[in-house]
Amino acid sequence: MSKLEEIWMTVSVGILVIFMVIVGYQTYALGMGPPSHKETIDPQKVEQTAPFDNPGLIDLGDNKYELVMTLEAFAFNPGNVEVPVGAEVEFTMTSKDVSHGVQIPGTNLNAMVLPGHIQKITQTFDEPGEYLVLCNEYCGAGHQAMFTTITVK
Amino acid sequence: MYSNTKKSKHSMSGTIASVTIVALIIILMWAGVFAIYMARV
Amino acid sequence: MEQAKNVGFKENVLSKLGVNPQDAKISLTYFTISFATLLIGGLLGLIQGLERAGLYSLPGGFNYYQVLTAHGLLLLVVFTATFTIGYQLANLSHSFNGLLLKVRKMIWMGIAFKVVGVVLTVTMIVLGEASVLYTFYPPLAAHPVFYIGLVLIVLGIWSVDFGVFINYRHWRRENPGQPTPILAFFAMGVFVLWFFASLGVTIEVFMIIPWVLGWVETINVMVTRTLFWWFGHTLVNIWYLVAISAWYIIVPKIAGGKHFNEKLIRLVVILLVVLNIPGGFHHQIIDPAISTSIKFLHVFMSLSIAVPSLMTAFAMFYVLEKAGRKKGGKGLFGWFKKLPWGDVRFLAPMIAMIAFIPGGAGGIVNTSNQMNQVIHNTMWVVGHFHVTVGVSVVLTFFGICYWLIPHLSKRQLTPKMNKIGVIQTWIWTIGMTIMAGSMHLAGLVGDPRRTSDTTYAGHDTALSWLPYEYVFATGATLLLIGVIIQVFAVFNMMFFAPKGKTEYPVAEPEDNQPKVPMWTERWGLWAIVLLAVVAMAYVIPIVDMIVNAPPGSPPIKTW
Repeated sequence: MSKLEEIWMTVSVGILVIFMVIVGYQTYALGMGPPSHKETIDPQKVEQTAPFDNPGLIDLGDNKYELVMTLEAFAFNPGNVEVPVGAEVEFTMTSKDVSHGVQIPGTNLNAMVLPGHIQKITQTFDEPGEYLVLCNEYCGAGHQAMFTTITVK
Repeated sequence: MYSNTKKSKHSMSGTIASVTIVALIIILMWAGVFAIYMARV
Repeated sequence: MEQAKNVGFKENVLSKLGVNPQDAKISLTYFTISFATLLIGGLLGLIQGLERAGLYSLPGGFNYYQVLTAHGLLLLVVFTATFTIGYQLANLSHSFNGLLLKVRKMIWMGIAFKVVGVVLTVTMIVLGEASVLYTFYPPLAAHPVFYIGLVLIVLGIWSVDFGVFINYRHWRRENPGQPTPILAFFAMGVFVLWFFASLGVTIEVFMIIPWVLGWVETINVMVTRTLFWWFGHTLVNIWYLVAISAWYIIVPKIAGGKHFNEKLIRLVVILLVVLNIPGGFHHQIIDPAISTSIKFLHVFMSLSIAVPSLMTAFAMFYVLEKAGRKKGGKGLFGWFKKLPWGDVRFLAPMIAMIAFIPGGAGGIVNTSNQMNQVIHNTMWVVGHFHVTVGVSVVLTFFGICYWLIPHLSKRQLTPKMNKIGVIQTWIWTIGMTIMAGSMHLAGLVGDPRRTSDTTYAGHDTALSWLPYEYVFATGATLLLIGVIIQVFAVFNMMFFAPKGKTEYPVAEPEDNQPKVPMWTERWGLWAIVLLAVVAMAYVIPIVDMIVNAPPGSPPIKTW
């Protein structure tokens, strides 16, 4: 390997290392890692299993909420949720049938929701408005119709 | 052998410039998406 | 003496051999299947582009997801795979002075398996029994015949795989102490990686078949998903390895230069083979059931695949700068202008290489842990693989056609056909730039992929994506024009171009190069290293997914 190539490899690998340090610091020191919840559930008994037997918005006080949500072809339950401005919402989700994905465009809320697994992700809604919540994993013929909204006011 | 090394040293400026552009594209693209990520936190 | 003999042998290989006529027939058969598939797959691509933009709707009985399944499967599993086999076997035949008789038989058997497999799979898609997309994630359950078709496709690949391994061993025995010609070395890398990549999906499909037949009631969703990406991402990197065999060895010859230091080329091949498989995990960064520490380990493992590509970037600029300066290029970028831009055999792979700069950089973004939340399952990803596979790989393949097909059919690349090729290359480049470019941007503002209609009852956010989608459709239209020209060129060069001899452009090493180290040929060792890397990446998460598995999922059909 020529001297110049060695320099190039050192610099370019160095850039990759810096990228890793930045995302690693955010993941481990700031708790900003990607959604990776590990609880499981029987996908055929979602409706009989707490907390999904009673999906809905739970007020935890201090403008914090837990949104217990089930996903199925082709709907989010509950849909059309309303929260106040500045609400910090922890989404607790599972699928009743096939693989789904939940995404709120314009935010970092993007997570896979798979049958048998409970997924959690938290989002703070600082701006008022009507947020689109959509399924971004192909789930069948009506996939394009699987969406709802969250209204922040 | 000596002349060979010398010749290649002389003619590598384009390679250095090109890989620098590659590095810049990598950094810019990464930094761009990182900025979007941070703006949405 | 040893050195001299080595060089003498190589020159012999480079100048005298060509592809054996028996093997040429094999390669041309693969190319016929390949480009017929491209025509259908490309047309389906345009249909999706138009439907998504709301400019066209499919006739009754067909739907977007069915078309999308066929587009993905035909182009990713049939077009690229058959091209790869045709091209790699030609390289092997050229390097080894013809393939062994029994290997040819295995390869013909492979074609038969593959054709039957594709027919079964596609039939199920057309019948609407398998709208499960390229990823066929359980618990989406297609008709059992769809999966049986996939098994036959894998068997078709394995027949070729084992044929290549047998031929390689045979050549090594006949030529003790000789390193294999570099193109044959690349072919070994491709087929070794292909074999190990397909193990993952094979296990997955053998979990699925008893489940769709009702012999077992439920399936482990996470395990099948993980096994899919073991294969699903590695596959595209196999196409990339095939493309760089042309970048390293063919392009320098056409540009009037020599190839890069062979030891480093071999190192790049070995690294790409051993490091590749765990890269699949970056498709699962936002999955549940995988801990953040395992995910971060995979950020490291995925980024490590970038290392050989960074070496390639340096090597290609080095080789091309040397070639351009030899032709009198002066100053910082004078050499760049001296490159043979009017020669389609150079132009197409050169644009392919340039496209890999944003393509590779995009890959680094995708795998950067939580940043994946910005782009996961958005159109950004679709833009990303249309740049990497659609340009870096496919344009290289197109460029290869313009010398390999006339070589195989004993015809000529006429100046007129070269011109058609140059025009095709530019149409493709412009089409992909506007389509993939707008897909990247649309993804950043949240436009989801794999969705037939993204208007979401007229929500403002959704309506803001529409302008981008018109641009996708425009790009897709140009691309279909590109496909038609390319398919015309391929079949013209196969059957109608003037008879003649066409060069097999294999670059030679620079002067005073050290002997190629024989340790690079230890494929048994590389296979063990590959398995060790796979074990490091997969044992902990897969054991976790099995031991802590939830009750499984029954088969579900939602289309």
